[in-house]
Amino acid sequence: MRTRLVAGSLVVLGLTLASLEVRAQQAQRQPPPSLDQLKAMPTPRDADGKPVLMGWWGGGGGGGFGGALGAPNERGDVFVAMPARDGRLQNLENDSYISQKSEDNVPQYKPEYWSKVRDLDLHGNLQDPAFNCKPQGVPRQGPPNRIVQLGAEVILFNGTTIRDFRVGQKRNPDDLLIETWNGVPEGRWDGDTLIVESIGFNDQSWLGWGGFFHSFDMKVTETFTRVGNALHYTALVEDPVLIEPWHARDQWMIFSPNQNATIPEATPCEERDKNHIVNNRRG
Amino acid sequence: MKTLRSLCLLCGLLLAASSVYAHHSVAAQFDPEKMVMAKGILTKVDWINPHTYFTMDVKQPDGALVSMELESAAPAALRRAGVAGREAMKVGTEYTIFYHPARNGDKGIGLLAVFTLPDGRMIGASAQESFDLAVKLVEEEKAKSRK
Repeated sequence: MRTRLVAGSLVVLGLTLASLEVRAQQAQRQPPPSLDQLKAMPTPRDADGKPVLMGWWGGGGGGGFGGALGAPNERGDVFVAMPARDGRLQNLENDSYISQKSEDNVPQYKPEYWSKVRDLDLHGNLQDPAFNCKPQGVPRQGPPNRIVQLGAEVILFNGTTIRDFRVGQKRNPDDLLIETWNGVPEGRWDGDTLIVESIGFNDQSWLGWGGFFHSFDMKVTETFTRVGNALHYTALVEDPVLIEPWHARDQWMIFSPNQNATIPEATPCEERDKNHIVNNRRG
Repeated sequence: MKTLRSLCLLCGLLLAASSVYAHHSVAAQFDPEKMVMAKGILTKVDWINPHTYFTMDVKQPDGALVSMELESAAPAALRRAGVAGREAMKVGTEYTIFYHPARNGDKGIGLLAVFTLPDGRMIGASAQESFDLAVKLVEEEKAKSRK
C-alpha cells in the first residue's frame, strides 16, 4: 500500500513537473509581445472617443510561480532555495535593504523635516505602516492592477483596495472630513489622458520605505494614458513638507492576457512579528 | 497524491511569496544559523496576511510538549495555486519539522523552513543554509541511531 502511494505520488510529481516543462516550452515558442509591440496595437476607444482603460493591467514581470518549483532530489525531497546571496537566509533582507537604500528617486524634504525622516527610517521595522497591516495608500501602493469603467464611473483596484469616482464630477466636500489612506479622488480627461487628483489624506501612510512621511496636505496627481495595449502611469506628489514636487511613479503597464481573472476575498491581516523583533533590520 | 502536489506547489509559493511579503527581516526575529529538528502535531492553521501560521504541538529536546506558532508564507500566494484549506496541511497529522528558533528565546515561535511528510520525504522553502542545516540534523540523527 505504502509502495503504491509513494509510486503514485512520484507519478503526480513527475506529471506536475512535466506539465510545467510543457508550459515553459509553449512560452518559449510564443514570447510575449514587447512593450513597443503592445504600444503599436490599436487603442480601443469608447463612444466618446476616449481610450478604454477597463481591464486587468500588469507590470509585465513575474506573476507566475511555476519557475519557483524545485526538482526532487534522489530521495524525493523538494527543496526550493530562495535566491539569497551565498545561500544565507539573512541575506534575503540584507540585499533588499541595500537595494532600498540605493534608490535615488527619493522625496526631498524641507530641512526641518529630515530629522523626522531619519528617525522613522531608523525604526522603520516597527514604524512603517506597511509592516503593521495598514494600507500602503496612494501613491505607495502603485498603479491599480484592475480598472473598471461603468460610464463615467471609474473604479481602481489595487488588489482588494478600491477607489471609486466619477470622471468630471467634483468631489463631495463632506468626503474631505474623513482622513483617508488613498485620498479623495477627482477625475477628468485631458485629451487621451485620465487625470486623477487626490487630496484628503491622513498623515499615516508613507511615500516609501525610507521613513518618507507626508502631511495631511498632500496632493497626489496620477495620470493614466493608454497607448495600444499598454498603459502609462505617473504619480506626482505635492506636499508642503517637500521642497519640490516628487515624481513618485512613472511606469508602463501591460494589458493582461488573462482578463477573466477575479478578485479574491480580502484576507485578514494580523501583525505577529513585531513583538519578537530584536534589532532594526528590515528588507 | 493531492497533498503532495499541493505541497510541491506550496514550496514554489513560499519562495514566490517571500519576495512580496518579506517585510520585517527574518534575521531580526529568527536565528538563520540555528536549526531545530522536532516532531509536531498540526493543531491549527491561520490563513492570514502577511504570513500563514501553522500551530503545532511540538516535542522539545527535553521532552516537553510546547504549542508553537510557526511562521510561513502568505495565504494569498498559496490560494492562487489552489493550495488552501484542510488538504494542504492536515490538522492532526504529525510532521517532522525543521525551524529556525527565535532570537529572543521565545520557545513558542519559529520560522518553519522544512518539514517531513509522513513517508519521510522532506519539503522545504528557504535559503540553502536552511536545507543544509536540516539535512545535517537528519544525518546526525541517523548516525546516533546506528550507534
